[in-house]
Amino acid sequence: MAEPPMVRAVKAEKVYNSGPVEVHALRGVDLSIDRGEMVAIMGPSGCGKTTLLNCFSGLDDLTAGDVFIEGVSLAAMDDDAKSRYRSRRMGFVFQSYNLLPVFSAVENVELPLLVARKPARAAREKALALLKAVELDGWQDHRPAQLSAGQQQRVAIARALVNDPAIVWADEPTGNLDSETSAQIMDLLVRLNREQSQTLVLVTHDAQVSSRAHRILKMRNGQIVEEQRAR
Amino acid sequence: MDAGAWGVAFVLVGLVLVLLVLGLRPLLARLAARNLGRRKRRVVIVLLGLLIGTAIISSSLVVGDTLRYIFLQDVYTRLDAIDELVSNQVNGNLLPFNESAYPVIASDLRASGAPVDGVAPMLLKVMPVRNVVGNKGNQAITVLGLNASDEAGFGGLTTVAGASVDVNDLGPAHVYANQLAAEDLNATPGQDLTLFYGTTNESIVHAVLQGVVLDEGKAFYERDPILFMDLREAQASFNETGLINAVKVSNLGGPGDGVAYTAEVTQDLRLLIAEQHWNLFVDTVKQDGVDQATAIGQQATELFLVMGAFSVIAGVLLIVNIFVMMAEERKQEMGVVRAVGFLRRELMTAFALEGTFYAIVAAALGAAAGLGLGYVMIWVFDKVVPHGQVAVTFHFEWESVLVAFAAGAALTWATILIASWRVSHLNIVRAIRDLPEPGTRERRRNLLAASVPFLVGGAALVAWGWSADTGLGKIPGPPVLALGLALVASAFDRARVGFTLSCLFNLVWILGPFALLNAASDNVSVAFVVTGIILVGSAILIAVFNVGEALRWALRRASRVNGRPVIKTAVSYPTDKRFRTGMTVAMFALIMFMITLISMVQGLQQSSIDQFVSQQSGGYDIVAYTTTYGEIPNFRQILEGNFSASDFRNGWSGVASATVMPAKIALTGDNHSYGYTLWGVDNFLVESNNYGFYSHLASITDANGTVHALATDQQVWESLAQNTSLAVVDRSAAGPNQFTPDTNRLQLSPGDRIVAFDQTGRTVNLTIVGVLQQALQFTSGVFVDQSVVKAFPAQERFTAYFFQVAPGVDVRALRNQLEQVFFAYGLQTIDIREEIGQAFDASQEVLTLMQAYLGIGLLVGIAGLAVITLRAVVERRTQIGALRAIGFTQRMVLSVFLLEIALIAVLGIGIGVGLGIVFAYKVYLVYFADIVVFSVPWANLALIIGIASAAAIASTAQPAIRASRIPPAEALRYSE
Repeated sequence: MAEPPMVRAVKAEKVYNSGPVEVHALRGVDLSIDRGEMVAIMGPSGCGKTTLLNCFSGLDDLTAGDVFIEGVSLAAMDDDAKSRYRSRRMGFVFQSYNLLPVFSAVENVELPLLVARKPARAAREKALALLKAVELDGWQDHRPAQLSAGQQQRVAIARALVNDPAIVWADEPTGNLDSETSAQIMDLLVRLNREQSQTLVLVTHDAQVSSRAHRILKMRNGQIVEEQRAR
Repeated sequence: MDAGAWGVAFVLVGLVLVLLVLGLRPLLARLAARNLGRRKRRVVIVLLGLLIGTAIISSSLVVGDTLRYIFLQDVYTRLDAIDELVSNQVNGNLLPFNESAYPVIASDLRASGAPVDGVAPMLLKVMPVRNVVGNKGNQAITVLGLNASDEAGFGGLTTVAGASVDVNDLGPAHVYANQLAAEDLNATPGQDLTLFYGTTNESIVHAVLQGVVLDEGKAFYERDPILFMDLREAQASFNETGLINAVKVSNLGGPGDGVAYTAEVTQDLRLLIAEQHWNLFVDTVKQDGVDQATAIGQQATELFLVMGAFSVIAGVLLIVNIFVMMAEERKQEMGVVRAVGFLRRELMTAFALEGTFYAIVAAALGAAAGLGLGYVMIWVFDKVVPHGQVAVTFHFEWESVLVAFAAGAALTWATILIASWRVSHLNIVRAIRDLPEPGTRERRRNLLAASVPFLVGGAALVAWGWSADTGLGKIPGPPVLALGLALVASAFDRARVGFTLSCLFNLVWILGPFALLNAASDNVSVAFVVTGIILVGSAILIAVFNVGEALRWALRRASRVNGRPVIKTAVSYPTDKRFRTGMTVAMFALIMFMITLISMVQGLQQSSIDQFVSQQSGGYDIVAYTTTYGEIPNFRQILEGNFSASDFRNGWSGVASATVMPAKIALTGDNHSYGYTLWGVDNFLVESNNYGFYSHLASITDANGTVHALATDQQVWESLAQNTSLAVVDRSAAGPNQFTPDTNRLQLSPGDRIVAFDQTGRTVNLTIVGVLQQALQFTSGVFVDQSVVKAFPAQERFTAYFFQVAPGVDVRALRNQLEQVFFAYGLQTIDIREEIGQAFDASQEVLTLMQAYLGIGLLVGIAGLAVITLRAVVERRTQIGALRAIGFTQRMVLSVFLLEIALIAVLGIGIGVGLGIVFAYKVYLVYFADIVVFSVPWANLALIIGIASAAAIASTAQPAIRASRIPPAEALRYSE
């Protein structure tokens, strides 16, 4: 039997109720993402990119339709099951890093492993290895406030990858960075995607960033209106 | 200008300033108003937290108002028009003097134009009275002989039927009774009353009750049961023809106004007495009563303010905490506001305007809430504290409410202004970019600057403390200095070491065996509050600087296998926000410290009752006194004729007596004398008492030079009979303890020489051979051989009788029988165990009341916790989203918050309770060590801890649950 796609969305719909106004953020999106694939989602502000990422990763619930991750329906999972799934199989990178300011770099990175009940010593070793992989060895005891924006995003990437996720969701990972640092971060993501065969779904405005993806999906008004394959 | 006027002025000036700002800079007002409207729920919580401090101040003042009012009303009721009494009073006994003095006094006051509206003679006797028909008697009825023609200034009498009468309406051998006396004697008009008077011989007078008069005006004198007689009739009946024993004087005005002329009238009277060479004295009864009522009110206010001071301080910490958090929350937007051109002072004004809303509204609500709280306190006081016939009525002065409002508003305002000033000094770039605190050089400069007032202030307190020998300098001086040094250490990145060492020093300084307080001159209340703040503050600083490290270490040790991400996250936030955590912990700790301390004192009292009774009673169960001065003739024959030896433990030897005389005592060679009671004990008391000694001489040397060892308590007692120049004194002379906290008592040690003298100057020289363990109010004083006291004139002394009741004999029945048999002598009995028990019960109830009062202060801590939890939920919203994204379940997020709250609450409660127990031990060493064994009332403390913990969790659970239920995507989207 053929392996199911990493992500499969069927008529995914998301409606926000903002007072009397209904906002259709996703309008019947059908989508399939293969394992190891790197997909960039682009589109103007408010087109539904981040909503798609949130709903497809289980951070938010769909209004209608379903999303299957590795063949498992998100709609069939309760909140705890989705949390556990995220801790074992997913990684997240956010535009504003969302590191915990009270933890050091290494403590931030090892946190998903501790949540997944991995032994503390092994978690620390793995976290240090990841920090080395993102070229932050020597910075492990620094708190986020003591790191530059690029360094913070590297820590966030290390945190996203530390549990060897099957899929990494990145929401504007370079949105707060200058072009040079953006390029470095993208190099890193592409390298890790290639080395670890992880699926990478990233939301971006930046054509330079999306150009590194295998596939680019363009969204407008809650729908995928165009799809481009890398040349 | 009095305090109330200052309060009004302060509030008015403040409001005018605010209105000016609102008028001149509406933009700032709009900014402040919008900020207030942002989080309405938090505004409510903040107001609730802030109003507590004002409510505490308000209720303290209102309780003082009420108690002052109650006792003033009591004075006016008891004395009515009487302002001064002229008498020859010896220790409360009114000795008769020639009535010819009265017209001289009256005419002299008239001639000198003294502001008086009444002068009248009276013959006042207290004696047993029996109503044979009504089959009831009372050992202490006041019989008042008055001359109706002189009574104009004192009002008449009103019968229960409403008729106005006076003693000139009485028939021969007739009396009026006030309602109290009629009730006590079960007497109705027409019944024959038997009046027993005399000193050594039984004397009987028969009088017919003509009518019952209302208990009001002069018929309610001293709230006593009174029989009124015509003065001439009284003089003839009691063999005191031509004699009176008091001249009462009414100053101009009503019962409450005449006291204004007391000084003037008293001066006139004293001048006259001196000119006439009379052996008479002026007793300013009304003025003394008013002074006492005022003092009681002030003491009550001070007690409640001292107890509530910790809650007020907790309230101040809450204000600081709230505004620091507000500043953190708005850091970025304030940076933007500054960037677009707002001046620093404008930012401060906008912040202060917002604070003004909190200050005024919270102070107004707090002052009103204090009224309610005061009412509850008085209501409970009325129910639990015995107060005899004194009517308890809630009363307050508007001035007190105004003062509380002004004090509360000022406290909040001052704190807010300082916080606003600090907030306005932000760095624009750092604020906008939400960057961490200033760099090392700037921070070092600030810390060094902050250390200067501490170092200078500490040094000044040390210098003052030792040069003036005052604990108010010695107690805080070194700790303040140590904190200054800790700030210097912080400037050089050694904050943890600096604060830990300095605070450890502070704890040792306060809890160590150093005598810092000057018991004679220091204000103990202020010293207590200062001590509590230093203790709690130091412990909190040690905790906030070390608990994070300690917990992290413990977690590392405990988490080698399992990472425990929830605990790790929960611990990290409060230990990272040291200021915020420290403030909140302090709020809890201050209140818990005080509650624990009171609970400990209560527990020590509870555990000491049996031991205390046995120690203080000397083995006696009943002590009895005669109403009239003198002794019961043939006491033992009457006793043996009416009782059985088996009624008493040790048979007839179980009954003893002492001749008692109020006297003055002074150390030999010292002019300062103290009021004391001289007890001349008989041989039965010497032989059969169990009164133990706190300390005594090891031996005495007799006139022949022979040394007699005093190895046992019995030998010490026997030495009194062997050498009449020896004396023992009660425990109060050995310094303050829980029962005699008055440090102004004469301090005596075995071997001290004293002189005892009566009012007329007759003296006896004595040497203290021992200090007793007992210090009961009704058996305290200097104990000597009976012959020593009997050498003084009979009219100055009375007799006390002591009874050891045999096991199985009903003490109450025996008391009744004793009072019945010796009724004619006015014998009144006291059940020692019952008396101590009642005092203990009242004390326990008051302590419970104080705990409940302080419990209100816990609301400050709870409000503080609620505010920081609400803040934490808002400020960490995106972090909650991130945690959920990496796999935290809802329950894990909830656990993080609850554990965090628990950590703060446990620290606050733990520090407060721990220090409360330790400090209580120090209190125990001073006040209880010679009475009881130290014990901790764990059950009571567990209840207090349980209530505090439950309240903490209950107040914070809702925002924590809300935080855990935020959908991750929504949390990630959130921006403040």
